[in-house]
Amino acid sequence: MTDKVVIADGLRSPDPLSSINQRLVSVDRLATEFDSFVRGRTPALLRAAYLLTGDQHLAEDLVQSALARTHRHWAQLHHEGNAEAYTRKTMYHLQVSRWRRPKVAESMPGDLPEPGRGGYDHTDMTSTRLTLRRALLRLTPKQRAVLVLRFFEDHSEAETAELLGIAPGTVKSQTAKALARLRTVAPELGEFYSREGNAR
Amino acid sequence: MNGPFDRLHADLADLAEEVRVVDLRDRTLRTSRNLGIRRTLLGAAAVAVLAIGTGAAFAVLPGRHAALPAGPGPSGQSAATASPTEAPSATASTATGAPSPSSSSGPSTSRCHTDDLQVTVQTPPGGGAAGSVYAWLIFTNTSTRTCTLYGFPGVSYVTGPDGQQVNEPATRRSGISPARVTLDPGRAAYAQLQTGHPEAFPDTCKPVAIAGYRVYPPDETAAVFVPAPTQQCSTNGVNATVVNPVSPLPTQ
Repeated sequence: MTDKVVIADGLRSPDPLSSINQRLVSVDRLATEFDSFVRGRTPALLRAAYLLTGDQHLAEDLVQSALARTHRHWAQLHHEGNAEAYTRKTMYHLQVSRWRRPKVAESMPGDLPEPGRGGYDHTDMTSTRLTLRRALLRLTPKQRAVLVLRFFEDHSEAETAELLGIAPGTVKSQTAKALARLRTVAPELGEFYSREGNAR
Repeated sequence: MNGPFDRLHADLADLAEEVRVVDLRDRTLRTSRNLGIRRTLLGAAAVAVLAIGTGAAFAVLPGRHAALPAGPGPSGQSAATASPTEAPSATASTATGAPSPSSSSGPSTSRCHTDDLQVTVQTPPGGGAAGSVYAWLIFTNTSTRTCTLYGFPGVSYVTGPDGQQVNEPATRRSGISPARVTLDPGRAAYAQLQTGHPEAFPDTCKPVAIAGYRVYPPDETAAVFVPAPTQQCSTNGVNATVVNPVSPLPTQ
């Protein structure tokens, strides 16, 4: 009801009802397309957000915040066909703004099960996960973002710089620091990630 | 790809699979609404929720069809009626009566009319300066033709879609010359609004709850209501809003 009033508010066409109906149909279609965009892209976005935040709920919040911003510009983004790029960029930028808040990421490890000696006797893969997750959370959020973009999303240094809005040189130095930090905090993983960053 | 980073990639991908995939659709729409935008994409069911969510500002909506003060149209015209059933077909051609500045840009590109546009409000990407609150009115061309916007929108606070105006209409920012903005279908432009914080005027402000903006696109005589519930000063001239001309959106 409210919506119809709002939409109809500006109508002055000779045939207001048909025009309203057209508008509602088009709004309906946009809404449907937004829903399928959300449902189609959420899994991939959540995976990246999980690596960025190390936490299910923080990942959901991050993706939801990015998608909400996309929703605000949906008509335009959909028209231009760059909704996905916009959403991803927004998601990483929201992480950037979290960097400037004090210690959000650093408060998260409380959620994690401490994998004490013998605390996990699952498969090797599971223990790698736990170790990697713990290790990632001991990086700065910025180092984590750079790692995820470079080695999970497979972006180049230039693309990573553009997405994060930082200089390519910063991407390079943050990548090196992130890898070095991983090796320090998780030497058992570090041996696998031991070569310095001339990957591409 | 080379060895070490293949391994890192694989481990990251494996770790990422831990996340539980959930449906974020409803939450996204709620967040979007909380960001202060108009909910044109919401379905009817969500609108019902919304009427509750937006609270007191909207509670006064129905039945407020009484005489409003003349709307602050950019050229001083009076407000158009808002109810669809009351939209008289005779007004359809009035828009052409308003002057369109320097109409030399192209024979087929004419001014965007109110019913070509969807108007929403959002907070600017950069945030506000100290002591000021900024908002962007976004004008999206929802028609199927290319049209242009040139000049200042008329903007005032109202207590509802048909509600009373609060305070004086926004004054035009001096020192910025308008530029013609051409909008292809689906494209958007914006006009920035600036106010101070109502708390900065403790003695004179007399804050009241407003439901949103009444917006006249440049040179148009029909307004749209743009929901944006806030507290604003009710004393005329106290903490009045300043509006910039319509400008192209910054490129991403």
